[in-house]
Amino acid sequence: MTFAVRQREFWAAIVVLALSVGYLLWAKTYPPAANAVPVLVAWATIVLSIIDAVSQFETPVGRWVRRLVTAERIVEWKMQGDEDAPLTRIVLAVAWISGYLVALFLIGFIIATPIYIFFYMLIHGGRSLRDSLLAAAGTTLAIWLIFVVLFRYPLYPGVLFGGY
Amino acid sequence: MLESTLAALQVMFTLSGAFFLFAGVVVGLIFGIVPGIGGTTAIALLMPLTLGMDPRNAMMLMGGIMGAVSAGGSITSILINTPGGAPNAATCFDGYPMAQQGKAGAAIGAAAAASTLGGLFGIILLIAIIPVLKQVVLLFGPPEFFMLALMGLAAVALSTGGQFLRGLIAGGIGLMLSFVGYSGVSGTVRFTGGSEYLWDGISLIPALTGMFAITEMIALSIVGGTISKDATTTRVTGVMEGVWACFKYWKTLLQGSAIGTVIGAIPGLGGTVAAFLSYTAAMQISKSPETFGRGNIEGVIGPEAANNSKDGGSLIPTLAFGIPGSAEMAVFLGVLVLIGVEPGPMLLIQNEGVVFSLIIALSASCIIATVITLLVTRPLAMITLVDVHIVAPAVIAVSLVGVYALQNSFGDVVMAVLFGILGYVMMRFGFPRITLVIALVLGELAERSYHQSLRMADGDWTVFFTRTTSFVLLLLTVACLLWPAVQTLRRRAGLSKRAV
Amino acid sequence: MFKFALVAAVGIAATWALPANAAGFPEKNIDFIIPFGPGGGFDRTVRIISPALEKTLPNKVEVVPKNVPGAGGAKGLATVFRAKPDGHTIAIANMPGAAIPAITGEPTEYEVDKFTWIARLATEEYMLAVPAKSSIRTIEDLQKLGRPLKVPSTDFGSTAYAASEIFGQVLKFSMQHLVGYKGTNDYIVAVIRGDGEAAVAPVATLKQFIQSGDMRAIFTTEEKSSVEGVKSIGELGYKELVGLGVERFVVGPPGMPAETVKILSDSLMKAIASPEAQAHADKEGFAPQPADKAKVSADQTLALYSKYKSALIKK
Repeated sequence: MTFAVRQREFWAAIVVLALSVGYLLWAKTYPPAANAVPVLVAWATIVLSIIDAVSQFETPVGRWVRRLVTAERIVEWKMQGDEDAPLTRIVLAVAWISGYLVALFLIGFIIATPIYIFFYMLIHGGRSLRDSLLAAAGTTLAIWLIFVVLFRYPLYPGVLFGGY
Repeated sequence: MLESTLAALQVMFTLSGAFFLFAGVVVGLIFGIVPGIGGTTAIALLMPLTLGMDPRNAMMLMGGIMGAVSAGGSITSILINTPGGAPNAATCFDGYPMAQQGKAGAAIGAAAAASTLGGLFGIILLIAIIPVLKQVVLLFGPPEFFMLALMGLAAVALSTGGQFLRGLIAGGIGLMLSFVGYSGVSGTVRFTGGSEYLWDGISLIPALTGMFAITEMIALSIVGGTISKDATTTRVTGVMEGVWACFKYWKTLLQGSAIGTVIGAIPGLGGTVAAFLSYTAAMQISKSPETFGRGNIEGVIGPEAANNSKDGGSLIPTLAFGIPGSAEMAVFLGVLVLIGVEPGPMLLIQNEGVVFSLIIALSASCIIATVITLLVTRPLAMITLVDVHIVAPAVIAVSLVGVYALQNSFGDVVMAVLFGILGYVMMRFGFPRITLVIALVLGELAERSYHQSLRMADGDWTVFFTRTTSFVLLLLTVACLLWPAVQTLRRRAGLSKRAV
Repeated sequence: MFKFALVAAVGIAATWALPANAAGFPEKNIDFIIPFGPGGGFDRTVRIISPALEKTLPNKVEVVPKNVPGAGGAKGLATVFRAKPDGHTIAIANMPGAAIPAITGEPTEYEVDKFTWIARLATEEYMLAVPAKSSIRTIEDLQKLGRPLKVPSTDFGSTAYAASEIFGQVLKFSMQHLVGYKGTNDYIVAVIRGDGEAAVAPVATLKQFIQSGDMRAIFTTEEKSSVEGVKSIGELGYKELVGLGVERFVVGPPGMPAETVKILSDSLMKAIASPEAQAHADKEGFAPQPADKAKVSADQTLALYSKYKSALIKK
C-alpha cells in the first residue's frame, strides 16, 4: 500500500530524526550527570520529528496532525521568489562563500577579500570589470582603514603568512 | 548622585567629551547597521584604545556605542530583512512586511522612537532602583535563572506562529548545539569530536552572524536582482507617523521597555530574548493579534523598546556586584579593568563619577542616535535598489572580518560560514532560524542553572517551587503558554455570541 | 586591483617586520600572547607591560598583545609552546592554572615543565570569606560544622577550586563544590545570595566585598595579612599554606637561547619598575622575579600542588 507523501518535507523530517538519534547515542557515551539534559532534549526532538514526518502524509491521520501543528499565521520571514531557485544556483552560491573561506584561511583577509569580491561580481554577478574592480578595492580599503589603520587590529594573515 | 550627574553633564559638554560621545554614537550606528557585528564587537575593538584614556571620556565613548547599536540594527532589519544584530531579529517580523507595503518610513520612525523611549525608560528604572540595587540582584539565583530560561523558550515557541512544530524542532536542535563543549557544571567535554576549537562551545556571535547575515546574503546571491522588487520600498515617508504610533501604543512601549530592563538584568539572557518576549507580549495585548507578522506597527514598537531598554537593565548586576548582564557588558567590564576601575561591589561607591558619566552618555546616545537614524534613513534605503551582487559580497566580507575581530579566532569565521549554510537549508525547509538561535542562547544557561539549583538544594527538586521569585516566574511562564488558548476561546465565544 | 592588493600586502608586511638594523635580539616585533579573551586581569597585565617593555628592550620593536583564547587558556599556551623559540613569541601564563591539567592527568598540547620561564610578574594570594551574617567565624567553626561546607567556584580544576580543596585537606574540613559559575565575582555573589556558604578567591577581589560589608574574611594566605583585623593563615598556625595563590609568569617556547631569555627577563624587570607600570601597582600585585628565580617559583608551585594531587582529581 502506498501513501501520497509530501516528499521534500518528509525527508527533511527524516534527516532531523536521524541526526537526533545519532546525537542521542553520542550523548549516552557521557557520564550520567553530563548526559541527563542532552538525552532529554534528544528524545524530545526525536518525538517531534516523528510527528513532523507523520504530518507529511496525505492520509486522514496525516492531514489531522498537520492541522494540529500548523496555524494560519506565519511569522518567520522568507525571501521572496527563492522557492524556485535552481539547484545549480544554490550550489554555486554556497561554493563561492566556501571558496572565500578557504582563501581567507590560506592568504588572510587583506588579500583574499578583494580577490573574492572581484571574481564573485565578475563571474557570478555578471557585473562589469570596472564595477567589480571598484567594489573590490572599495570594500577592502574600508576594512583596511577601519581595522588595521584606525583600530590597529591585527587581521588574520592566513596560514601561509604565519597565522594560527 | 546629583553632583555626579552634574559633573558628568559637564564632561559631556567639554570638547573632548562631546567628541568621544559623538564618535561612540557613530561607531555604534555603523556597527549596528553592518549585519553580524554589533556592540560587543565594537567595544572589543575599541578596548585597547581606552587604555590610558581619561575614564570619563572612555565612558562617553562606550555609552555612545551602547546606546546607538540597536538603533542602527533596526534599519537593516526593516529595509533588507537582515537584522544588524540578533536583538533586532524580532523587528524583521513586522518591520520588513511594512517596508514591502511601502511603509518603511513609518516602521523606521516607530523603531527609532521606540528605541529612544525604551532606552530612556531603562535608564530611569535603573536610577530608580539604585538604592535597592543589591537586593534586586540577590533575588535571582540558579532556580530563577532556570525558570527564566524556560520562560524564554516558551515565549519563542509561541512566536513561531504557523511553523509551530518545526519551530519546536529547530529549538531542539539549538539546545543540542548549545551543549557542545566543556560543561563546567559536570566537568565533562561533550560533543566536540576532539576539536580544540569546540572546547569553548559554539560561540554565539559567529552563529548569529551566520544564521542571519550570511544566510540572507546566500539567499540574495541565489536570486539576484535587487532587494526591493518594488520601488515603493524605498519611498521613505511617514516617518513622523511612526514616531506618533509609539505614543498611540504606549502600553506596548512601556511593556516592552519593562521586559527589556528586567531581562537585560539577568546575566546570560540578553537582548535577543528580551526582544522576543516583548514581541510575544505585544501580540498578546494587541487588539489585532492576527495582523502580527503582516506589518503591524506594534510588532516593531515592542521589540525595539525592549532591545534598547536592556542596556539600562544590564547595568544593574554590573553596578551592584560587577557581574556582566550581557555579552556586551562582559566586554565593557574589560574596558573598566583597562582604565583602572575595578568592577565589583565598590564600583558605585568609589567611582560614582565614572558610572554617571556612562549613564549620561547612554541617555544622550539614545537621543542622538535616533536623530542620526532618521536623517540617514533615506540614503540608506537606496541600498535596496542596488544589485545584490554588489551588496552580498561586501556584507559577507565585512561580517566575517567583524566575527574574526571579536575573539581573534579563525575558528569563529569558519563557524559563521557553516551556520550561514545551515541557516539557508533551514530557510528552504521552513524551519524557523530564530528558535534555534534562542535555544542556543538559553540552552547552556538552562542546563547549568538546573544542575546548580539541585546541587545547592542537596538534590531536592522542590527548590524550583519553594522560592518566591522562582515560583512567580513559573506562574508567569504557565500564563504565557496558556494565554493564546484563552484568547482563542474568548474570541470564539465572542464570535458565537455575535452569530446568535 | 592587484596593485592595490600588493600595496596593502606590503603595508601589512611592513607593520610586522620593522627594519632589523640593530644586531641581535629582538629582530622583529614580539607577539605577547594572552591565552584569554580581551578584558580581565591577564589582558590588563599584558597591555600595561607591553608599552613599557617596548621602551626597555635593546632594539626598537613593537610588542603586540594578542588574545588567543580557548579551552580555558590551553589553546594560547599550546600556541606559544609550538612557536619558534627565538623569543619573538611569548605568553603570560598562570601557575598553578597552567599546570593543573598535567597534575590531574588531563591531556594538553603543551608540557608545562618544558616551557622556558622568562620572568614572574605578579602574585595573588587567596582569602577564604563567608557572608557577613554567617555564623562561621573561625577555622574551628569550619571544622566543627559537621557537614560539608558548600563552596562555589567556576569549574573543576580551576585555581580557586584547587585552593579550596587544599584548604579542606590541610585544615581538615569537608566540602561540597558548587561549580559552574561564570566568574569570580559571580561566585562571590552566589555566596552572598546563599547558594554557597564560603568563597575562596584572590584577596584583591574579595577585599572589595569585605569593604562593602557583604562578606567577612576568615583568613588570607598572605605572609602578613593586608586586610585589617584579619589573620593570615601563617599566624593561625598553618605555615604550609602561606603563599598559596596564583602567580603570573611570562613563558616562552621550550629551548630558548640563554642570551635571549636574559635580554627579555632584564627588559621585563625594568619595564615593571618603570613609573608607567608602577602607576598600576596597587591593582596588579607586582612581585617581579627574573628568569632564574621565576623557574624556582614555578617549580615550587608545581611541587606544592602535585602534593595535593588526590584533592584535585574530579570526584
